Amino acid sequence: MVVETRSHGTSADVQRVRSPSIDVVDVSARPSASTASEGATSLSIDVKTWRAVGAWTWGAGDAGDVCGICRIAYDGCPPDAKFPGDDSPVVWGRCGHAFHLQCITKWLSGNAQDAPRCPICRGAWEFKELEGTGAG
Amino acid sequence: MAVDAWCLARSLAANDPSTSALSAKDVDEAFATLRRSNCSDVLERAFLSAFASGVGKDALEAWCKSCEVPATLVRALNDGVSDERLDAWTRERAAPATLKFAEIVESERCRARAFSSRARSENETSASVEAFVRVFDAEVGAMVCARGPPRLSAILSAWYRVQAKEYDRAVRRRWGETSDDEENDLMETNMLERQGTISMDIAGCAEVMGLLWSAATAEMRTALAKCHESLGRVAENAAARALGGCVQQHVVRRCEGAFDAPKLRATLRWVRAVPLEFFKTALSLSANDGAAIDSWRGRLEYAVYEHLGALRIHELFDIIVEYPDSLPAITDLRTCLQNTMLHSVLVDSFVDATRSRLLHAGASTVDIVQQYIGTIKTLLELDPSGVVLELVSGPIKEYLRERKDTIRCVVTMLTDDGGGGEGDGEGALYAELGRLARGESMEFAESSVPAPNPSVGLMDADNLDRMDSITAEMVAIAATITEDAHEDDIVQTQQVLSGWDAWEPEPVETEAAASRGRRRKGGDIIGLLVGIYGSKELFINEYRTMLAEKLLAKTTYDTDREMHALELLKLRFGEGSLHNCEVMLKDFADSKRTNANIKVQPTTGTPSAKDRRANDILMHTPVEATIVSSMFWPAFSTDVTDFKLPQEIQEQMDLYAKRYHQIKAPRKMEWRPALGIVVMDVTHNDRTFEVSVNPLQATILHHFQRAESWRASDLAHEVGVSVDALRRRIAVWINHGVLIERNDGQGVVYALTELTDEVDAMDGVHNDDEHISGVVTAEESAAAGMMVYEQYVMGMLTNFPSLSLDRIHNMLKMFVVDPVYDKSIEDLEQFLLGLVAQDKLSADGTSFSKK
Repeated sequence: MVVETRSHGTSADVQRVRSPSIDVVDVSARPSASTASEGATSLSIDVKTWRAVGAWTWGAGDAGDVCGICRIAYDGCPPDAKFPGDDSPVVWGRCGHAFHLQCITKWLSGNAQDAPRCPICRGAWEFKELEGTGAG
Repeated sequence: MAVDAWCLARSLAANDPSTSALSAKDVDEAFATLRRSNCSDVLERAFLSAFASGVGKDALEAWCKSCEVPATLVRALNDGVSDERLDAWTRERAAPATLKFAEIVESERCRARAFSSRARSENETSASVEAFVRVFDAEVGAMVCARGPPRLSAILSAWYRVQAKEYDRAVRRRWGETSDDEENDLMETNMLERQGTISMDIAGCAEVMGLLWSAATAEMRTALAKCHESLGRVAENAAARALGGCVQQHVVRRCEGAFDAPKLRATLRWVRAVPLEFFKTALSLSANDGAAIDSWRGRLEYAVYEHLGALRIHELFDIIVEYPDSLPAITDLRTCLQNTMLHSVLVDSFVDATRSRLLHAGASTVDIVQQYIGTIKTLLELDPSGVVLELVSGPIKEYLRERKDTIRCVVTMLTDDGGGGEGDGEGALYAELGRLARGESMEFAESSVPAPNPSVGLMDADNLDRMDSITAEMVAIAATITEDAHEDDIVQTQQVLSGWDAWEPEPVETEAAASRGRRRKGGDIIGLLVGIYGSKELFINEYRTMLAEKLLAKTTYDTDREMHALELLKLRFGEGSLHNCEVMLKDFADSKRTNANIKVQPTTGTPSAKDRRANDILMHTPVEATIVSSMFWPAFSTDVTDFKLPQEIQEQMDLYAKRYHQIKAPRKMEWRPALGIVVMDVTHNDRTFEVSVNPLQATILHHFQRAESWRASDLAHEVGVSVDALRRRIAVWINHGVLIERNDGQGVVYALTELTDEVDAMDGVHNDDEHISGVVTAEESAAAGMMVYEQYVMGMLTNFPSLSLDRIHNMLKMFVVDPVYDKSIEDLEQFLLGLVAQDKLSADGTSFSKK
């Protein structure tokens, strides 16, 4: 159930969702119901709450990959942060390497005199613009 | 002439009746003759032998005869118990006979003195007469010692007891107690004590019982003392023994089972008023015998401490059960312990009581933990140093360590604030946590040193306590379980630092405790409970698992109670160790916000706002998400992790995830379809009911909206799970009477029930947790018909470490009657191997044992 692409908000996307069908229209017409077909049997179900469980990930590397600076998983929280997620964002450089924002900031401020470099590939460091960040 | 005089003197010595006729003149002459012959020693010897073989012997025999204990009373006398017939016998027969004997001896002594002074010449000093009297006394002593009544001391003691009882009753009547009935007077005294009507005036015996009675009481000892010095001592000891018995009886009668009122003070007052006054009378002590009276009072009061202490120690288990109503009894016991040396008795007796009454298979873990908490509180009241507790709690801790559900039980008690209303014990530890929190905030206020950064404070505490523990380690190398559960416990360290001026020397028992490891600081009930396992990690892990289960089973985003419990636990265990749990709760709070954000119309102008259909769906979808930081949650263990959700739900969830990604870029969400909970109304055959089930169960039922019946294998394929897993999950619907299981010869078929079908479980909603969490295993091999025996087998293997196949077979045949066990040994083997495959049992070729 992974969302296939990180790009979103484009019209192509909307198209893709729309196209599958009638079912979706059906549902939006009958708000709280999720019954699919037309009452073919004597059973009908009215789902009130479907409390699903999802796990978020930054999508940096494979599950369990760690930040190159603090050696803590991307989805965990770096040493100075208290909570993972919003409090410990992960950022990418143009070189493709990802770090916790806190970690890379610390690294970059420690080498203020030089031009910023990626700690892994030693290439010039530039934050990679996230696609669709403008969409917020 | 001399011969006549000698004969006369002889008959005088023997107190012959014929001598009474003689005139004093004749006697004087005879003695004068004898004195001249200088034979006074011979005369005296003659008097003694006449006494020994005549009057003395007769008197002694008469006394012995009267004091022969009737066979029926021997037991009562030996046991020292009150018995009416014994009382009557002592009073009417033994006591008068004793006095009579004393009287005879006294009169003989007078005669001896007179005889001696006649036999001696005037110029001989009276000293020699006294010497003869002493010889006479020795003779009496020898006689009583060799041939006196064998049970004299017991008899006297019985007599004193009768007297003391009479006096006791009179005094109590004087105090306003009307009942003589022993059954009632306990209640009555309690009542009177509460009303304060007992004035507790102390009056002498003479005042209460009259002069005659006191004189009679005093006479026994006076007479015996006069009769012979050692008999006086016998009487004294008998009185002491009788009163000791009285005190014990009084204590038992008045205090047994009455824990809700202080008893010690009243008993001590009684001792001063009754037994002590009785002593004064019985031993004829006057006011200027102050030292003697003090010493007797000391003895009696010690007896009170000892008897009351022993009684309360014996009842300690019940006292703990009734804590805190039994606080008065605990206070009494503490005073008793301070005045006696009963600590070791307490430890032994209480450990025995606990073993036989609590630490057995019949007691539930909750009860044991409850009683343990009570024990901790009670014993810390008794002995604030915690040494006694340390000694006593060993067996309880060991036992609890063997129980599998101990941690879970403690965690429940800690985090459940009793809102469930399941008995008063539920919130006990929660309240304790709350108390700790209040105490701590007070301490912070006092020290007025704010702790700006909790982690810094944590480290300080850590270091201090580590030093402390290193010292302790050096002292107690032999410690098996080091109780370092609180290394980073701010509270304890603060207690240590602030308590320096309240230091008290450790009691003697410390030496015994020292061999068991470092001494605990008292007052920390939670620490003691958590310390059962020696470390807090196990405990915290269990808490984390339970929290996760609780959160995932929630249908709302409300976590106030969990928050509160976590805050309290954080105070207790430090922030660091509960960080995961904190993240879990924060995930929950974040999920609530995210869920709300996803379900509103996006601000116009943003790309997502254009997707009107998606917005419509999301605004109305029943899907809500708990979005977790998977690294901080315990591993989710379900056999099914992925399956095909109903199409529209899947689509809504995809949209949901997509919107999440839009809002939280670059984060994305991966669903865990098997987890969560679905609340839905099921309408079937004109019956509608609400259920909470897990997603897989909901999905399975969903398919029956399309078709009346499904072949198990087809349905399993459709849902994307194994047939086994399907069968386990579908049971909930069969239980609800929605589905029915049939076998059409080619395999299992599930179908919707029809109105005409006989459905056994039409009792509507049936929300049991097992079904929600999907841990339904019982039905799995029910088809094999052996499932019912699993419990029996498990039970057997709990009692026996391992059993052979034959043995299990035979035992099942013997014990299982409902349903009758009629399987072959091969069937059983098949079934047991199945259990082995399920990891429930292990087999080593010949025998099976529990995993």
